[in-house]
Amino acid sequence: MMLLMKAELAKIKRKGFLFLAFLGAFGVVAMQMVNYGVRKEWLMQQNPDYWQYYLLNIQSFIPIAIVLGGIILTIQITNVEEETNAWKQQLALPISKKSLYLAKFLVIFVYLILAASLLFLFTLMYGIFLDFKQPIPFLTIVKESFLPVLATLPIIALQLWISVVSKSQTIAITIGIVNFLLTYSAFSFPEWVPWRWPYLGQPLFNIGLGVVAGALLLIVGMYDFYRKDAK
Amino acid sequence: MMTYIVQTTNLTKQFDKYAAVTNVDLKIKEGEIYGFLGPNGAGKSTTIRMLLGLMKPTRGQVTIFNQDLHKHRQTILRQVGSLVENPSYYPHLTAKENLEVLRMVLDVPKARIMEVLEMVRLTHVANKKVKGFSLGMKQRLGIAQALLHQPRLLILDEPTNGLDPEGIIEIRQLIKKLAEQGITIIISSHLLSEIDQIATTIGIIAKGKLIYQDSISAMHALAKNRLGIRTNDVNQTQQIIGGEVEGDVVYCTKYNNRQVATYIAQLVTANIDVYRVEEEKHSLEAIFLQMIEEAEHK
Ligand SMILES: Nc1ncnc2c1ncn2[C@@H]1O[C@H](COP(=O)(O)OP(=O)(O)O)[C@@H](O)[C@H]1O
Ligand SMILES: [Mg+2]
Repeated sequence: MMLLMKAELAKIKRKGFLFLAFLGAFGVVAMQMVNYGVRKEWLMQQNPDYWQYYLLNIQSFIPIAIVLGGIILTIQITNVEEETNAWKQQLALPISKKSLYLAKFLVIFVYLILAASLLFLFTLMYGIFLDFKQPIPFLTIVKESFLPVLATLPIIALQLWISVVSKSQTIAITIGIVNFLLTYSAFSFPEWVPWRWPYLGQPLFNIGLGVVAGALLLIVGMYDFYRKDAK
Repeated sequence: MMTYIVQTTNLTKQFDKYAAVTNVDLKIKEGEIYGFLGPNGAGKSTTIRMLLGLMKPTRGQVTIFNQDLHKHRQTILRQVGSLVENPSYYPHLTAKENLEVLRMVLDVPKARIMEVLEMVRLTHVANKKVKGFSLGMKQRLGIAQALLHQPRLLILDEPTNGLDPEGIIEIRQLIKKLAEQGITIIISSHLLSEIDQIATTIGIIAKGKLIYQDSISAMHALAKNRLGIRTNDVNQTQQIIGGEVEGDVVYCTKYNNRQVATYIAQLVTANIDVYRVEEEKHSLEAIFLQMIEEAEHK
């Protein structure tokens, strides 16, 4: 599996995956740089726990960043195979079809975790820069940075499945846009709707379901890919 | 018992109701260059995809290296190199990086990359992005990719499609060289001349059915010319000159100028009216076309 993941990384060289991970994490914090840059005084009056309020502000942008980033990564990692139909070449290699699928999923996951790590770092750095003079809630920042990734897994797994088996990437992109819009407007949805999960309204419930549904969709997609003839 | 390196039995592929490949029994011996010939849409690529496990047959079996492909796919593919239809590559990567992606998975030494690039004469563009390559270069890169893990069996699906004459000759020479090294090669084409110049055995497919499979020399034997003599008396004519009767024409297959002159003199002497003496030329091309036509009208 490590070999296959390395090969996946070699395929997406120069496709800007690292930059995207950086941009996603930085973008979320940059919003607050603008926000606090413009009206720090006012924001500080909203809540006596400055860190908590700052993290709350950051958190509202995390789900759409992860979903958007994850969808772009997913489409890119399948698009490298679509461009010249490299699927047929990959699948004529002495590797298992399911492993190839899993390798792609894991590479996306690794990039999302990387983006989450950067998000943790940027959140912390700008928080320190804001100089709240209150103890730093490290654990909360870790949770806020990494846990939404787990709640997003079903959306990513679904997106990968569609990208890999659909006849044209247009379908995958269209569904990607729908997924993004649903996440964007998920605030008005009830708690059980998957697009609501990345907001971690009820963290335990959201993450638990996210991981279970994500794994389920991953397996279903993998099996469907295995079953179908190569393109 | 004769053993084959590739053998299929009743290999069939149906897309919905449409039968793209029907009961194909390929028999390919080790060391051959097997020319897989058929018009566009005959089912060559579909057959080849099934040989590589890219498509699951609707019916039938594929045996490669005496192992069932369905059960031992990975073991078999470790010794098979392939180029299916248009070459596949990652355009944003260089030739070397493209091979590196495959090298990691195939787990062969790094030095092999430069070796295969040398074989297809792409060393000078090893570090250029494949995006800018000509079709011929991409095709050659495709062959390099197929050769990376030193396969025992090489499957090339129309490797010269869309190439200029120079490119075609180049690939032909490369294939001959590889065959000399003992690699078994399956090469498909829709052009008889292509296959005729390179193959040792030929399999012809039309409308999804394998309609001919034999050595190339056996195919050439079919292409012998014959002399047709039409007279007012078939039987007497046959008694005099031998040969075979078809309708009101007597055909003979062994003849030269001297003999033809003698035949005519003999017929005239016997008071037989000679209406026509015609040489029937059966070019390989004509035989091929006739086979295809018969298959299509069935
Ligand atoms: N995935 C597919 N779905 C439906 N029909 C197909 C598919 N692939 C090939 N065909 C059909 O099967 C026939 C054989 O195609 P193919 O094997 O590509 O022929 P060849 O390679 O000899 O030109 C064609 O009529 C083609 O349209
Ligand atoms: Mg074809």
